[in-house]
Amino acid sequence: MCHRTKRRFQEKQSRAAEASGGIAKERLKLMIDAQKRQLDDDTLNLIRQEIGSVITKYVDIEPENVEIRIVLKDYPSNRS
Amino acid sequence: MGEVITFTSGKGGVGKTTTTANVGVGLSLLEKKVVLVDTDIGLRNLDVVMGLENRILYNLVDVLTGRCRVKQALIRDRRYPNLWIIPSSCSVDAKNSLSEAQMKSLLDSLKQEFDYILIDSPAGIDEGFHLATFDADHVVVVTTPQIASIHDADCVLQLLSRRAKQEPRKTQEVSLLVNCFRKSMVREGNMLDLPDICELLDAKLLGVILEDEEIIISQNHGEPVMGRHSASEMCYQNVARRLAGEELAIPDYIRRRTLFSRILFGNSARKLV
Repeated sequence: MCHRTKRRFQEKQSRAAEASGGIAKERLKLMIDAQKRQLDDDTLNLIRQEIGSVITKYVDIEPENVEIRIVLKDYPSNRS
Repeated sequence: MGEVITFTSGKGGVGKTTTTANVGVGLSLLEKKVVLVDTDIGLRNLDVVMGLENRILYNLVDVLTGRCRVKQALIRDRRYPNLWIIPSSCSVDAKNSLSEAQMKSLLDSLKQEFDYILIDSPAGIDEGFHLATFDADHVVVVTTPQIASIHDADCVLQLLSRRAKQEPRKTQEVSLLVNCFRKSMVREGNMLDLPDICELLDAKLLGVILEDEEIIISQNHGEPVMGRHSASEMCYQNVARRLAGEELAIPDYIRRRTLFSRILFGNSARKLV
């Protein structure tokens, strides 16, 4: 009797782990995390400008000829 | 030339995104080339429902403002043969700077490539709604049998007909889709039936989607409900077939057919409205 109850309990738990609610939670965690780390356009432009000015300090090149792309490798939903 | 079909509703949460996704899959299974466009700027959901959120590089705002080419923003859904999506953006910065002309030029170029362009409209009736509907060939107003949703659907229908009179650009087909329909509640008399809804709103009924738990489960997985053999799957497929031009009666879900009447009158769906 006790064994059967235990087995049922385990079955129920494993089913809960496979159930879609857990998958949804995991997906949402990733999305919300990525969203928090996402940089807004103004900040991205500021980073570009600062990197650009550093480059023009050492390399003889006009600022308008420098193109900078920012790629955050770990966050696939982020725009480069 | 492709056809632009916009799903809109007025009220939020009635199933515009779910409908766009599943009807889109349905059309792609009919071997049509389909693109789904999410126009809910700032609150992107279509990619999440489709499970494509990790594949976004560029979005609708990037295309409209010329930051990337149309091709760069198209995400191909590898699970289906002819399905692409253009996701919306998460940031609201550009929301008010988008123009009709930008949208029209995007739709014109998509029309060259695709058979169907399905637009998921934002809720509400402001700028975003206008941008999603002004150039559509067919506007589908999604409603549930709930009173607030029907009321908002009526507002949207009136708005559309007023706009068509004021600025007649081109003929726009308008139809109604009833979502989350519960047979048991209608039988008990606790939910408005289809003839009532159609009479109240005075609109052509495109289809009915039955309430289905599988919608929530499939979206948790990031998959459409198509192919999961549940109650709503056939409903979506039927809507897709009607949009593709097939004459398909809307079945009478309420008046139960006895075995006797089925033998006597055949098993075919009875036309309801």
